[in-house]
Amino acid sequence: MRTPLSAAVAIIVGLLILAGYFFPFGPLLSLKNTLIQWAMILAGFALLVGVVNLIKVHWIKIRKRSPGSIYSLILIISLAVTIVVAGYFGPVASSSLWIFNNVQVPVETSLLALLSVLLIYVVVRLLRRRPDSISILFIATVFLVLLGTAPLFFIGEVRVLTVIRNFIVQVPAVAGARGILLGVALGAIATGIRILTGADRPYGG
Amino acid sequence: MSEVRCPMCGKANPPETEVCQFCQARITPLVLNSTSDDVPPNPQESSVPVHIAESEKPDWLDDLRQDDEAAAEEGEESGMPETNASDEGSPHEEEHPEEAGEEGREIPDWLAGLGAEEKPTEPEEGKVSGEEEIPGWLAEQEEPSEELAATPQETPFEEAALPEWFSAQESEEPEPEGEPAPLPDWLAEEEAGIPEEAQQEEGLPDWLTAFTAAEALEGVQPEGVSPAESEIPFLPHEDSVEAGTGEGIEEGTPDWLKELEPASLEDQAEGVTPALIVGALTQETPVEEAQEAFDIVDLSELPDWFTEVSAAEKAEGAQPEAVEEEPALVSAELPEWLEAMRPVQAETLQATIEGEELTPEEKMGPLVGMRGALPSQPSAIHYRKPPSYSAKLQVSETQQAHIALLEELLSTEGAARALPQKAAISSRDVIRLVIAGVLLLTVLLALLIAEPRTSMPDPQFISPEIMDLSEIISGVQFDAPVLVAFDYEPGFSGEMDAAAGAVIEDLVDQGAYLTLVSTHPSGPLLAERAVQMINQAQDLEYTSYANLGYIPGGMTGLAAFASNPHTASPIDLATVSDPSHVSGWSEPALSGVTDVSDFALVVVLTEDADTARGWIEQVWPLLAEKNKPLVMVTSAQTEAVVRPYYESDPKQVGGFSSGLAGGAAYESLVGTGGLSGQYWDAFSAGLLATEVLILLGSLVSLGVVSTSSHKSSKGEDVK
Repeated sequence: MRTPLSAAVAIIVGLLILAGYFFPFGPLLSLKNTLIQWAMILAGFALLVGVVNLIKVHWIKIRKRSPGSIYSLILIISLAVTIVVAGYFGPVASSSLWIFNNVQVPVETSLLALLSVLLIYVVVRLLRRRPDSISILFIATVFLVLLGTAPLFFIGEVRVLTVIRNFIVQVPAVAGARGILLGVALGAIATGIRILTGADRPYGG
Repeated sequence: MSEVRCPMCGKANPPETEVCQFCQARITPLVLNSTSDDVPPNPQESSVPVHIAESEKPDWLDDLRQDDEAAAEEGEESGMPETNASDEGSPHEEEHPEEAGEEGREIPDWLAGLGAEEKPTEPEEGKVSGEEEIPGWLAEQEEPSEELAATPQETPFEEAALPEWFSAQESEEPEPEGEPAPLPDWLAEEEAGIPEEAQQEEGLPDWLTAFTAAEALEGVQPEGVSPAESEIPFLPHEDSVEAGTGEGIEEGTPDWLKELEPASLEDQAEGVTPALIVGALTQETPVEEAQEAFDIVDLSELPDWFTEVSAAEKAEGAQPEAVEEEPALVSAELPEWLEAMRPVQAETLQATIEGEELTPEEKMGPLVGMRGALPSQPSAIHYRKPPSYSAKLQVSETQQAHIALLEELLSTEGAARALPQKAAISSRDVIRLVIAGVLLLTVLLALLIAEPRTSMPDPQFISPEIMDLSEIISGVQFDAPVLVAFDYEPGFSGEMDAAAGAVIEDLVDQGAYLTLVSTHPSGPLLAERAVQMINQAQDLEYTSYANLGYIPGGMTGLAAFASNPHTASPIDLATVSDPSHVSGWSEPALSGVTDVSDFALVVVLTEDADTARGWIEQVWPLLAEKNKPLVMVTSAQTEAVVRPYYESDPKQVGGFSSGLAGGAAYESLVGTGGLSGQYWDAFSAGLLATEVLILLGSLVSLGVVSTSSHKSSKGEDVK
C-alpha cells in the first residue's frame, strides 16, 4: 500500500486512538481498545515472522557452507529442539524450564559477567588513553559510588561513603535522568505529531 | 574680397594660402567634397564658414572684425593694391599707418601691441638670404611658392609652370559655354573687387581650377613633406621661413621666447637654421646629411645655457667609456650538479645562433636594422634536417649511487611487507586475565567463607523508597490479585533474582494471588523460575498464581493489557502443559478483574529504563483512577531513571528497590533471609576488589603517561 491510502489509514487510526485518550467513553473508548488489540496481535505475529526469517537466513548459510555456518546449524538445531520440547511438553513445563535454567540463563549471565571485567579494564586504561580532568572526574565518581554501594569487606559500612554515594545517585544522576526523560517526552510528542500529520511515514507510502 | 580670413584667428590671409600665416590653422579643407568640384575654388567660399562662425563669436570680436573689414573695403575703394602676401596680415595698417593708428585707439591695448609687433621685417632681404643657403633642388621646388607669395593676386599658376602635357590639354579644352549661374548679390559685390586675372581663372573648368589650385598648393611644399607634417604646429610654415620674414614665428611666439632666441632668429634669417629645419622636414634627406647639417651649426652662437647643457652631456657621455674600461665579468663556476645537467650539444646550438648574425641586415622598409627577418634565398635551398639534441646527462658516480638507492626504495615500496608476528598473549590480554582472576578469586573466597563478614544494611538507614515499598507490600491483603511483571533479561537474573526474591517471598507470605506477565519472550520462564526458587527456598508448594505469559507489542501491548487484561492475555501457561489445570482467569481472585486497576498491586521487575517508563506511562494512569499502587524492583543501573517518578507528586511509583543492595536492605528491613544475604559477602568483596583494581590501574596509568610525557619533553629539550 505505497499509496496515499496507507498514510490516510495511519493518520485516521492515530487520531482515533488519540481521541480515545482524551474522551475515554462510548464508542471512542471501545474503538481505541479494539485497535490496540489488533496492534498487539500484529506484533505477536511479527515475532513469529521474525523466527521464520531467522530460520531461513541461517538455513541459507548452511546450504552455502559459508564461514560460520556451523553456528547456524547449532542455532537451528537448538531452536528446533526447544520448539519441540516446549511445544510438546508446554512452555513452562519442567523440561522447558530445565533448558532455560541450564542453557539460556547461564549463557546470558556469563556475558554480563564478562562485561564487568571489560568495564574494569576500560577504567584502568582510561587515564592512559585520555589523561585529562574529565577522565579523572569520571574515575573518582565511579570509585566513590562503588565504595558507598555496599559495606566494605571486613570493614563494614562507612556512613560517609554511603551518604556521598546517595548524593551522587540521587542528585546529579537524577538531574541528568530528568533531562533525558523530558527530552524523550518532547521527542515522542514531535514524532506523534509528524506521524499524525503525515510528515513522517515509517510505514511507507 | 581677395583675401581669406582664418576661421580661427579671424585674420586675413592670401586666397591661395592653405594654412593661416598667423595661427597655423588650416583654411582649405584637406578633402574637397563633391560640391567643391562643381563650384570654382573661389576664395570667397572659404570665408563662408568664417561668417557662420562669426555669428557665434562674442560681440567685441565682431566689432573688431567689422572695423577691419571696413578698413579693408576702404583700402580697396582707394585702389591701393596689395603687393605682398606678407603684407596681408595687416595690409591696412601697413599701407595706411595713420588710419591704423586711428583704429589702434579704438582696439584694446593688447591688440594694439600685437599690431605694433607685426611690422614687416624686410621680407625681400630675408627672402634673398634664404635663397642663398637653400640647395638648388629645393629652390627649384620652391619657385612656384615664391611666385605665389610675391604675386598673390595675380594668376596663381602661369602656363609656363604647368607641365607640357597639361598645357596641351588645356589648349584643347573648349571654353565653357553659356553664362555662369547668377551669383547672389553679396557675391557679385565681392566679385567686382576680384582682379581680372582671377576672373580669367574662373573661366577655366571647375575640375581644372581645383586641380591647378591643389597643384599650386602642393608646389608650395617641398617634396616628401606630407600635408600633415606641414601642419606641425611647432614648426614654422615653409612660406614664412622661405620668405625670411619670420612672421609665422614671431606672431605665434610669445615675447619671452623671442627674447631668448634672438640669435637663432638671426641665424634663421641668414639661412643657417633653416637648413636644419629643412632637413627635418625633408625626410628623403639621409641621416648622414642631416647629421652634417646639424654639425654645420655654429655652436659658438648658441646661447650660454645651451652650451652648458652640451658640456654636461659630454661629461656624462664620457662615463660609459670609463665603465667599459672595467675588467670583464668573470664567468661563474657552475656547481657540479648543474654542470651535469648542461646539455652536451649546447655548443652546437650556440654556434647555430652565432651563425644567424651572418645573415644580411635589412637596409630599408619596416624591418630595417633586423637580421635574418627575411630569407635572402628560397627556404627550400636552406632546408635541412633539424638537428636532434640529445637529452643525455652527465651523471657522476655519486649521483648514480643516489639513483640506485632511490630505485631500491621505490621497488620495495610496492612489495608487500610481512606483518609483524602478533604475540600469542599481549599485555592487554594479561591485564584482562589479571582482572578476571582477581574478581573470581575474591568472590569465591567470600562465598567459601561460612560466616558472613559483612554486616547487612542497618534498617535505621534504609532509603525511604524501600521503606515505602515494604509498607505497600505489607498492606496487600490475602488472596488479593497482584500483578507481577518479570520484564528483565535472563542475563540480569543474578542481580534481579536477588533483588526481587525478598519482595516475591513477602508477597507469597502475604497470601497474594500473583498474576505473572512479561513483555519479554523469556519473561514467563523467568517468572516460573522465580516461583520455583521460592518454593525450593521455603520448601513450599505455592500454586496460587497465574502465569499469563508474554504480552507482545511492547508499549502497545501494555496499553492493551492495561485496558483489558483478559483479552490481551487470555491463556494461563499452566493450562498448556496441563490441560487439567484450572486457568487463573477462572480463579476467584481474578474473576473480578476487568482492567489493570482491578489488581491490588502492580509490581514491575525490570532492569531496563524504557520498560519501566512504559509501565509508568501506560499502566499507572489507570491505577491512579482507583488509587492502586505501582512499585518496582529494578537493577542498580535503572535507579536514576525511576527515582524521578518516585519523587513526583502524586507518586507515580509508590516505592522501589534497586540492585542487590536494595534487596539486601529490603531483607534487612523485613527480617527475612534471601539471595541478597547470601550474595552480600561476595558482593562486598567483589566491590572491594574492583575498587582496588581501578585505583591501582589508574595510578599505574598515570605513572606511565607522566613518564612518557617526561621522556618526550626531555627528548625535545635534547633536540
